[in-house]
Amino acid sequence: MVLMTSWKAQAQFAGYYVAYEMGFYKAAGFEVEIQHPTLTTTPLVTLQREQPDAIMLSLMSAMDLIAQGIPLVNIFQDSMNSSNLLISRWDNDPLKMKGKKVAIYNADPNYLAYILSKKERLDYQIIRCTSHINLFLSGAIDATMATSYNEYLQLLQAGFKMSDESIYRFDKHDYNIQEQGVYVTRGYYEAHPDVCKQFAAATRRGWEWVADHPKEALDIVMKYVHSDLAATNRTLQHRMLQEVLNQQIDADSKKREFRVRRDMVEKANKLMLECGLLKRAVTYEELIAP
Amino acid sequence: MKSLKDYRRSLSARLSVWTVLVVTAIFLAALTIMFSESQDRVRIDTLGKAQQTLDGTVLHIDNTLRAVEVAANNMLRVIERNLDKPDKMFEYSRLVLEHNPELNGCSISFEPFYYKEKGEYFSAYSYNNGDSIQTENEGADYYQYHTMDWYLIPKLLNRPYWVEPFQEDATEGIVVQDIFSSYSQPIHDKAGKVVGTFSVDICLDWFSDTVSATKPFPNSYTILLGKGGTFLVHPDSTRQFYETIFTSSLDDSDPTLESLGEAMIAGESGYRTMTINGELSHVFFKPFKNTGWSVAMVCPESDIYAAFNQLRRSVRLVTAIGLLLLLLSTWFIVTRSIRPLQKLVDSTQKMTQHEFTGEIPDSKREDEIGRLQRRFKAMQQSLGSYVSKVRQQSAVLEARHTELQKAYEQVKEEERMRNAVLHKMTTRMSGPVADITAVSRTICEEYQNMTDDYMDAMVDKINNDTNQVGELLNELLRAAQEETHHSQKSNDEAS
Repeated sequence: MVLMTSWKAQAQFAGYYVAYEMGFYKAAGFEVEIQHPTLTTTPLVTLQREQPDAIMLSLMSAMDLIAQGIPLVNIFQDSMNSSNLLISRWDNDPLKMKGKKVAIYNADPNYLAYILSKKERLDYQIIRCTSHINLFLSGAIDATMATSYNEYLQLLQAGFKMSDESIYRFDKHDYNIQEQGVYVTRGYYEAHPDVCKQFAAATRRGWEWVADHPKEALDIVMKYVHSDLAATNRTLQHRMLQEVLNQQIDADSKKREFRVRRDMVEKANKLMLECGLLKRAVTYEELIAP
Repeated sequence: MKSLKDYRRSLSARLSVWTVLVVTAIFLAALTIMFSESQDRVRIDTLGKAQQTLDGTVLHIDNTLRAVEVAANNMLRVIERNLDKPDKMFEYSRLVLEHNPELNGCSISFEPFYYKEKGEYFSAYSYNNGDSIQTENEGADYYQYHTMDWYLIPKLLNRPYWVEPFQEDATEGIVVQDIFSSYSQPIHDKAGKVVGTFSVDICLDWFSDTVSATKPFPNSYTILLGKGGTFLVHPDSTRQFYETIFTSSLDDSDPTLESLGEAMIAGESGYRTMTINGELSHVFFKPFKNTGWSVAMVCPESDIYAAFNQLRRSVRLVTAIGLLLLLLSTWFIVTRSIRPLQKLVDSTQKMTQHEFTGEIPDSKREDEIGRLQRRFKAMQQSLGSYVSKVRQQSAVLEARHTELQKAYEQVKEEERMRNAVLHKMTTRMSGPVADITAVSRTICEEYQNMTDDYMDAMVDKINNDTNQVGELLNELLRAAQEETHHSQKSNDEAS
C-alpha cells in the first residue's frame, strides 16, 4: 500500500512512521510505502492519478469529495477532535472581524472558516493560501485558520504574541468536528478489504506505541523529517507530538478510539449543508469501511 | 639545609621579601589602573570596529537590493504599458534576467482568467540556471501560484514586498532547487486595479556569502533573521531555516534571547551583551531597509579582548619574572652587604666564650657596615688587651694567694708544732715537776725522819729534776727564738 500523508514529514504522522519502522505493517503481512506531498503533488492531485492507494484527508474534505462523486472510504481515523483555531493578526476577537481577510489552507480547505463566517454573519474574505505563516506575519491578511499542533506552534516559534481573546477555538464551541483520517477509494477498499483492516490495526498499534514511547517515537519522526528536508526542528516536533496525541483522545470517553464518530458526521453534514458547502448529505455508512 | 624558620629569621630574606612585596603592590596598583583604562579604550575601539563592519555589510546588501528594486521597478512600468500584449510577458521576464545576472528568476503572473484566452493560470516565468535562461508558463492545477506567498502578499498589501526566503519542492515544470527570496510587486491596470504580480528572485546564497563574510574577529559570526525570526543565515547549518531565534525558548524560556529576537524582528538597531553557549558575547544588530530582515553580529568577549588579553598575559609574565629577579638580586645584594655582620656575629659568639682572637678582616667600606666592622674590630682588640691584662693580674693574684695559703698553712703547721713542742715540753716537764713537788712535800712532811743520806738523795733528785726542767725551758726558749727569727725573715720576704 502506498500512503501519502497530508503534509511534509512531521510528528502528526508519528504513528505511521512507527508502525513502519517497528515492523507492525510487515508483521501484518503487507508492505506500506509512506510518501510525502510536494508543492505540485498534493494528495488530491495524486489521488486523481490513481496513486497513491491511500491519502490523508480531513473528515469534511472527504465528505466534500464523496458528495462530488469521488467514492472514498475511511479506513483509519487519527483525530477525535477539531484542532482548528482562528487567530487574529491584530490581537482582537475573530468574531468581531466582520468582512476581514481570513486565510485558509488551499490543499485541504478549512471548511469551518466558511461555516463560522456564514453562521456568525461575519462575511469573511476567504483567502486560499499554500502556507499561512509568512502571509499572516506580513499583515496581508487579518486572521488565519491554524491547527493547534502546527501553525499555532509556528506562530509561537516566530515570537508572535497571542492573547486568548485573539484565538477562536472551534472545539470549545459547537464546531468540534474530527479531522485527519486515512482514505482509500471504494474500489481499492473492495479489492483489498483485509489489507485495509490490517493497516488500521497496525497503525493503531503504532500510535499506541508512540503514546507509550514518545521520546523514541520522536527520534523516528526526526529521521523522516531530515530525510524529507522539512524545515522544522525537534523542539517544535516534540510540542506537535504532544498536541497530536491530545487530539486523539475522545472528548467523551477520554480514550484513544481511532474511529469516526457518527454524531460528528451528522454534525458535519448539517453544518456543511446549511452553508452550501456540500452537494448532498454523506451518510456515516457511506463514509466508513463496512 | 636551612629551614623556613631560618629564612624567616634571616635579615636578607626578610629584607628581600619586603622589598618585593612593596614593589609588587606598587606594580599592581599601576598595572591595574593602566589595564583598566586600556580595557575601556580597547572596548570602545573594538566595538566600534564591529559596528562599522556590520554597518558596511548592511549598506552593501541594501545597495544591492536597492539596485534589484530599481531594475524591477523599471520593468514594471514596461509591463503595465503593455498589458494588452500577453505574449510579450515571456520576453520581458527573460529580458529581466538577461540584464540582471544577479537575479535567477522572474515571474510576471496574472489573476485567474485576466486573459480569458490564457485560462485560469498565466504566469510568464524565466529561470537562469547559470548556463541558460529557461522560460515557461508556470501556472497549472498542480502549481496554483495564486495561493503562494510571492503572489498573494504584494497583491493583498498592494505594495512591493520582499518575500521571506523559500524553496519550492516542485517536481514538475522548471525544477528549482535554490533557496531564494523574491521582490514582488503588484501589477496595476490603467484603472489602478491589481491584475497580477511581478516578482524577481535572488538566490539566498548571495546573502549567505555576503553576511557570513562579515567576520571582524576570528570567532565572531553573523546571523540573519527573517521577519518571523527564522535563521536565514546561521553558522550552524542544522539550525538554518529549521529554527527561529525563539525555538529554544519554547522549551526553556530565555528572556534575554527573546528580547533580542523581538527587537530584531521589530526592525530595531542596537547592541546587547549576553551569554551565548556559555560565553559572554556582544551582539550588534541592524535591520535591512528593504527586506525587513535583521542581521546580528555575535562577537565573543574573548575575541574582542584577544589582543588585549595577550598583552595582559605578557605583562603579567614579565612582571612575575621581574619580581622574581628582583627578589633574587635583592637577596644577593643584601646578603653580600651584611656578610661582615655575620663575621661580627661569629666573633661576638666567640667573645661570649672569652675568645677575642676571632678574625675580623679590615674593611675599606665607608658605609655603616664598614664603620661598624672597624669599630667592632677595635673594640675586639681593646677588649682582648684588657682581658689579657686582667688575666695577668689574676694570675699574679692567684700566685700570691697560693703563697699566702702556703704561708698560712706553714704558720698553722708551726703553730701546731709549737703547741706540740709545748705539749711535749710540758709533758716532759710535768714528770720532773711532779717529782720535785712530791719530793718537796715528802721532805717537808718527813724531814725529821729522814736520814741524811736519804735527804741527800732527795735533794739530788730535786736537782736532777730541776735540771731537766731547766734544760727543757732552754730548749723551749731556743725554739722560740728560732721561730721569731724565722717569722721575721718571712715577713721581710713578704714585704
